[in-house]
Amino acid sequence: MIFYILRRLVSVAVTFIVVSLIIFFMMHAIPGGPFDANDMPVSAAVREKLMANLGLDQPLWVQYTRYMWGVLHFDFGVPYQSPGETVTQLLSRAWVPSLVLGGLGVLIGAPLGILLGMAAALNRNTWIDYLASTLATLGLTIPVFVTSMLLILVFAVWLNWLPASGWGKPERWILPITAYALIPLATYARYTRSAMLDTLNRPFVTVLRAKGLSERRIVFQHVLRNSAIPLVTVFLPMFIGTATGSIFVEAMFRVPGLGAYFVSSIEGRDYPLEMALMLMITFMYCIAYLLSDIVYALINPRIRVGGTP
Amino acid sequence: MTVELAPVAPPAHRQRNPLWFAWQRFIGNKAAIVAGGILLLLILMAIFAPLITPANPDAQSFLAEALAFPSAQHWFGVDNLGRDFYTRVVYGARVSLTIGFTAALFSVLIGIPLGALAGYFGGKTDWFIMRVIELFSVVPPLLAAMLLGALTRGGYFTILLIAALFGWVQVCLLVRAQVKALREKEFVRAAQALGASPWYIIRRHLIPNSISSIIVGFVLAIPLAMMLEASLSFLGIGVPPPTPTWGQMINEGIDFMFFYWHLAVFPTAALAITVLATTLFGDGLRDALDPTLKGR
Amino acid sequence: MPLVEIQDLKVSFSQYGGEIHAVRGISFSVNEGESLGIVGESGSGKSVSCSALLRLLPATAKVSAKSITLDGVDVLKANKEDLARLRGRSAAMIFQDPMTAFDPVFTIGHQIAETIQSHRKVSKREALAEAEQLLLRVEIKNAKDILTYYPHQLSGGMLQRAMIAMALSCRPKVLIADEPTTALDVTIQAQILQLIKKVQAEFGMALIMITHDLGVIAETVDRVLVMYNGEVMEQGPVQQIFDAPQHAYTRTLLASLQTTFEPSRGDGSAAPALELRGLAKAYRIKRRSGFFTSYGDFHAVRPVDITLPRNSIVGLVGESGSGKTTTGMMAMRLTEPSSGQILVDGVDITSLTPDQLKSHRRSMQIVFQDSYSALDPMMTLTQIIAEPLHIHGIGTTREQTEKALGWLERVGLPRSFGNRYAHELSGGQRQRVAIARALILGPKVLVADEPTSALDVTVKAQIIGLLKELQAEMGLSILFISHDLSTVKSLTDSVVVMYRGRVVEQAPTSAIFADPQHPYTRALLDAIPASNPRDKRERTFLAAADLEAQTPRYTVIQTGLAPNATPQLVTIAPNHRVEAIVTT
Repeated sequence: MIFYILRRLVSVAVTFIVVSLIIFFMMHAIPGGPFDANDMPVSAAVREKLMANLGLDQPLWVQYTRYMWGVLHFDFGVPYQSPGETVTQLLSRAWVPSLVLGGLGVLIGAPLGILLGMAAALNRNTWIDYLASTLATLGLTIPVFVTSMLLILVFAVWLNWLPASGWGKPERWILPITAYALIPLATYARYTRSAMLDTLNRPFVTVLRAKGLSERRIVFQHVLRNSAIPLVTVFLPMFIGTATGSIFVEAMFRVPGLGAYFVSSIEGRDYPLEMALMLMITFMYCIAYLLSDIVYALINPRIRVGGTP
Repeated sequence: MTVELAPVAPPAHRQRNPLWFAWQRFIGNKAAIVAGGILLLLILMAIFAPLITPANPDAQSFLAEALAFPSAQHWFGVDNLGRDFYTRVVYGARVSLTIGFTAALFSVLIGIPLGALAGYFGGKTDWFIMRVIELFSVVPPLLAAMLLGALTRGGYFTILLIAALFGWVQVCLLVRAQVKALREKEFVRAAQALGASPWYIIRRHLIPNSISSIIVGFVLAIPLAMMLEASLSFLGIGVPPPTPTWGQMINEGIDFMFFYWHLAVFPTAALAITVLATTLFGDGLRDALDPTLKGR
Repeated sequence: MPLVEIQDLKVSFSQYGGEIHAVRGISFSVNEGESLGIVGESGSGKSVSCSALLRLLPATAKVSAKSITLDGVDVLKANKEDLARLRGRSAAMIFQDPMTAFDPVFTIGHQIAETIQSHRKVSKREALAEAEQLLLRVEIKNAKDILTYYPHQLSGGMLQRAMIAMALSCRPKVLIADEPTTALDVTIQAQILQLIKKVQAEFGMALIMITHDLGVIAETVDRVLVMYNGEVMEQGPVQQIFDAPQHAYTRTLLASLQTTFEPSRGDGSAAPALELRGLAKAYRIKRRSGFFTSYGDFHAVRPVDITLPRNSIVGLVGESGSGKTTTGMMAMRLTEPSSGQILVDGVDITSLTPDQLKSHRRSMQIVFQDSYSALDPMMTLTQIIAEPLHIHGIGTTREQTEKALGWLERVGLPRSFGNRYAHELSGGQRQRVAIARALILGPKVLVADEPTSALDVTVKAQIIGLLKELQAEMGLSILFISHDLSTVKSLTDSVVVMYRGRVVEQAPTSAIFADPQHPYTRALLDAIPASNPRDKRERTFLAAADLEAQTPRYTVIQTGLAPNATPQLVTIAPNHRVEAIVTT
């Protein structure tokens, strides 16, 4: 087991380094920088000094190793767009709204999604199944800025019940949280439903029925436990997936969170901030995959116990 | 010795072709039929856009009526620059659909050979392709696309490339799984025993038998590409104006939505309906062609 | 009043407008303590009828009957509580594949205990103690440990025993066994059957044995119901069915048990058609010990020597995992051997490149077990049969098609089938097409890897007949890989017995069946089910360790070999070799 975790750790670390390399070189390979003549009209001497200050005149691989060394010490450099603070300071300020809204969204959406998926699988081809499938398809296919737009139009513009945007008062949170919650709700409902249906079709369920177990026991003990095994592997990464949605939700609801900074960092070619955000999300994905692999191994006796003792 | 049984007429269903069952499953799925119909309608609209719209999409011919609400002359109203909004939404379908279909085509072109290679040869080839896919799985496609889009300043072809770059993974995984299952089949073994080359087996047996997963992969890659394009255009790094795209229109619509709701509603609805119809159609195809893949 | 009474049971499944009538009005009853056998081929409705008895059919099934009573309860009108009481307590079931019948995430002990607890108010500890007792009664020795095992840690035979223990846990009045031995190895099959008989007597239960295998019927039941296509063809006491079958279908079934063929002419003068010299296969496997992985070798096949003379049929028998299929695959060079040589018609093909090998492939072909996956579903039968010609570029397309159609007739199918697809055929017809494809190039050697094990009894006899006929016509040499000893006995000229990757005995067929020398061969032969209820007998079974202990011993003088403590193949009669220890 320990060996398994170590091996996964190494493979995750390699993936992470490769991704960081690709992102780093890609960002630098394309012509144009933050101090291009047309973006920032300063004299050549000043530009050179600025470049030297920020280390942009060094060869790429030197810049990369220097940067990654800093990353290990939580030093992501200074964002070009607000030179008064470090990237780390900026991020630690910006993640609060994102985490509150996104976290609450997932905490509300995920359990609802799981319950809905279960209800759909157990009542196949009834209205609840169709409702779950429809909701899942809607939530998975329609971009989050479209659902946000619809929410604003209905509840803020037409009904005028809730404020459309901003940050600060809790009633301003309701719409963005709803927009966030729809994604995990849809995904979790869909995966839970298909995992439960898969399990219900396996032969051992017939055996359990033939033994005279009550349907409730079959579902809540056997089917649920077996369905949970494949689900574990998709749940954590999906959690991180919500982070992607934050860009649009925050743009739509004018929330000053991570997503908003991501957009502005891309528009302003703010390398340090861009790198930091991409690395952070990649890192979270890696950790999520690692954790879900470990949990999978722990709850699956085939891996935990191994073959014939 | 010969053993002949009293002839019992075999039930009619035995003689049916698998495609017949697929078709029956498909027409039993009303959502997919409706979605397919809508998709067809949208495609026709996009093709015949000049014939069914009253004006040029870029012409600011109605400046005097700028921001007018929907009316008999202007079904979807007029936008802030005096352009007929119905025309712009219809032309937006052209962008969305061409990007969707072309990107899906590219995804399939990259995904099929890689998936077939990984599935058929296994071992090191498979290991390498799977590691590449693992890289894609830890980088959220939308963020990476945004980064790429921003770095290259967007544009039609960039968006196509980005969409294909992130679309092939799914097709590749589908084809790989299918080929992996097929290569264990005994008809492949039999062809090997006959001395057939790997290329012959892939061409004559594996690709024809994977055709349903390829079709499904193709159709399901379309909405993903359309969503990507809309998202990038929404952020202003997709297809540049004045080409009408729905993502752009939605972005502009936000600024006007409190007073001129039509600028936000119509592109939003158009995008939602198109993506939903394509996905439902693709889901229906998948369930019909390969019932074992259902709900994945 | 009988324990089980079914009158005029009809079951149908609806599918896309059409209806499939799986059971068309059958009636039968079972008295307390009686054993009833239901025999029929796949699709005859035998399993469906018994699932209907416990209401285990999916919701898509339409069930109607004049009456279904089990233990005095009307099953069709029973509510949830009644059903839960009936299932497990009045009737318990054993299923075909023990590997998928247990929930993989709970221990065996838990699963037996929960059955007990759902029917009786006892504590978990008492239930576990009872489970242990039950496991002991189904002859599991280390019952206490087995309780804590997960299903994947046990072999199929052990799991089926545990399954029987679980079925016994609520003292059912009738035990329904649905093909309980089909997924198991021959020797294990016999043990499980004997165990079922034993516990039936001990617990005084009635038994319903559902099977396609007449041997199982002959061994276990008192009364037989013969089903075909959803209807009962015939029923009566077992001895009467075997001795004086009334219905034509029953007679066909019985006839398929007693097939005999002329022995092949054999041609020992020229070089053998296929010769395997010291052929072995080892797989590298990882062993984990703490932090380190070490690599070890798993010997799927230890060096074996097998000779297939011209114009003869050699049987290769053994249980699953004995290495018989791997040997066949290596002989075809579909699996690369780790060491040894393959000689086809005297030519060593072991290290030829794929291009060099291609021309030799024309003289060696293979037929597989699973006729479903043996034919490409996207190709017509003509295309499938003509594929070998296509690959080797023989003749024009027109000639290829003509030849393929000719072969279609030769394997007993009408020419009009040429445009059909594989899914339109029955299992037997598909296997005929597979044979045509393998023989169209006129090979000298044919490896037949369990070609009939997926087929129904009557069809099986036809396919074996066809193979034998073509063998005689073409002077083929066939390596017939099988676990079915009755077929091997009737078809082959000599037999090679494999056990755990080794050849333990090889001899002419008559010699091996008359005078088996190796304990494993004896165990295999002893496990063949009786072909008539009169011949049924008590058997004693040997554990793996006993088999090792009983390895025959020969002296130096008898064999002319140097003494050696490790077993080796020893020639004891012309063409009869057995694995033995040579002592001084």
